[in-house]
Amino acid sequence: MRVSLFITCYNDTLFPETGRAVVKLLERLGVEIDFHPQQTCCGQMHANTGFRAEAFSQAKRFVRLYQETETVVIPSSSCVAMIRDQYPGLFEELGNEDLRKQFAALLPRVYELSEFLVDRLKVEDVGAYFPHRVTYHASCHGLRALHLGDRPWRLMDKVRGMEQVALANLDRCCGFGGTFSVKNAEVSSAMLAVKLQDVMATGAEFCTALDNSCLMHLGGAMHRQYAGMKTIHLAEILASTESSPAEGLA
Amino acid sequence: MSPAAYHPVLDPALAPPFPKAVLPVLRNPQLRKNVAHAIDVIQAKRGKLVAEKTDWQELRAAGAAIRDHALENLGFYLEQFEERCTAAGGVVHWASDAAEARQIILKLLREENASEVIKIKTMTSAEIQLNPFLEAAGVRTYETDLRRSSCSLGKLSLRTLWCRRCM
Repeated sequence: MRVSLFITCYNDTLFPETGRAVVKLLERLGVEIDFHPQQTCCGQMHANTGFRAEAFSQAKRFVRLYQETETVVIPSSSCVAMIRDQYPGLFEELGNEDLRKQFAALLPRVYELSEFLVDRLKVEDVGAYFPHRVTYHASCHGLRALHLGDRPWRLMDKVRGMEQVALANLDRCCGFGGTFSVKNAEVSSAMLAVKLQDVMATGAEFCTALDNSCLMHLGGAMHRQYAGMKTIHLAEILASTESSPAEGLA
Repeated sequence: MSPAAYHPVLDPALAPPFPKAVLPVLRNPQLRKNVAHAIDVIQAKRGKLVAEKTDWQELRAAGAAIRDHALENLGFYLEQFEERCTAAGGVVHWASDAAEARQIILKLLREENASEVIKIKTMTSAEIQLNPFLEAAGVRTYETDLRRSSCSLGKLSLRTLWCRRCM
């Protein structure tokens, strides 16, 4: 199988280790990967803050780059949610019928990473080894927009050596919300403080998720509180093996 | 913090921006504790009910579909409501904006020569800034959540407890 990887601006600029882990994981599963170096951002930040023209240009670029692609894989629920929930409205607003049709044809081939593994590749045991105590944070976009359901657990349950610790109040937001954390920093921090209590109470070594945006928010607080816990994208856990552990742990 | 800060102005034209308006509330530990407790209690009750159902996700989707349908056909349902409410002896007033709604309510109170009114706490009355308007017009307002209890007491008690015209 051949897929095109949309890495997202967030992972590209802040978490390159997640991108490398996705490539390592997919290649191990026999997937061939294309990568368009012209890719940029899904445009969520622009759309959410009223920069329609900039959001349009990102959405158009996405369709232009991937319209010939068999499958697009994105290791970020948030960006997939943008494409699935907001792009239809953007293309409607643009009023370009050809573009709208191209997008409608492309959309069913766009997958979030756990969706791709479980639904498209039909694999749950990805051959991972991660001998650590881990708690999983369900991001709002994964939970409420994509309805990822039990996909993350189906994958995590098969990771050898990994001990899972359930996170209380799993359906509560970490408070990040993209530009919300800038525009409403005080509320965002208050939500983070509440979330962090539940996360720290697990006593896990790692907090994982399918969105590095939440993990950046949580990880920032952990770092500043000298907490004995780290954040790690689920792709990095799934990519990890006995002979080739996750970056930073080797 | 001035006491006024605890009674934020709800009119969007007058209210300070949200990040600023929220500060006194955020810095009120008692309030945050109370809200957190309320959320925990509600979520725990919800969790218990969800656990009883094997098909709650489907129920939820069905509920959302009903809501979406009602909103998409709101005009039809409002008129249907008016028809049935009128048939049952009620009076439905239509207002095109907040100012008109406030005037209608004041007119009803004037007709009753009311100097005080007990009103149900609703988001709608908060949004149309009803309380300050009535206070300014010389009508003392008392808010209550009692409607919920009165509803559970049944039709008869509902009538005895509440003037129908104020509902």
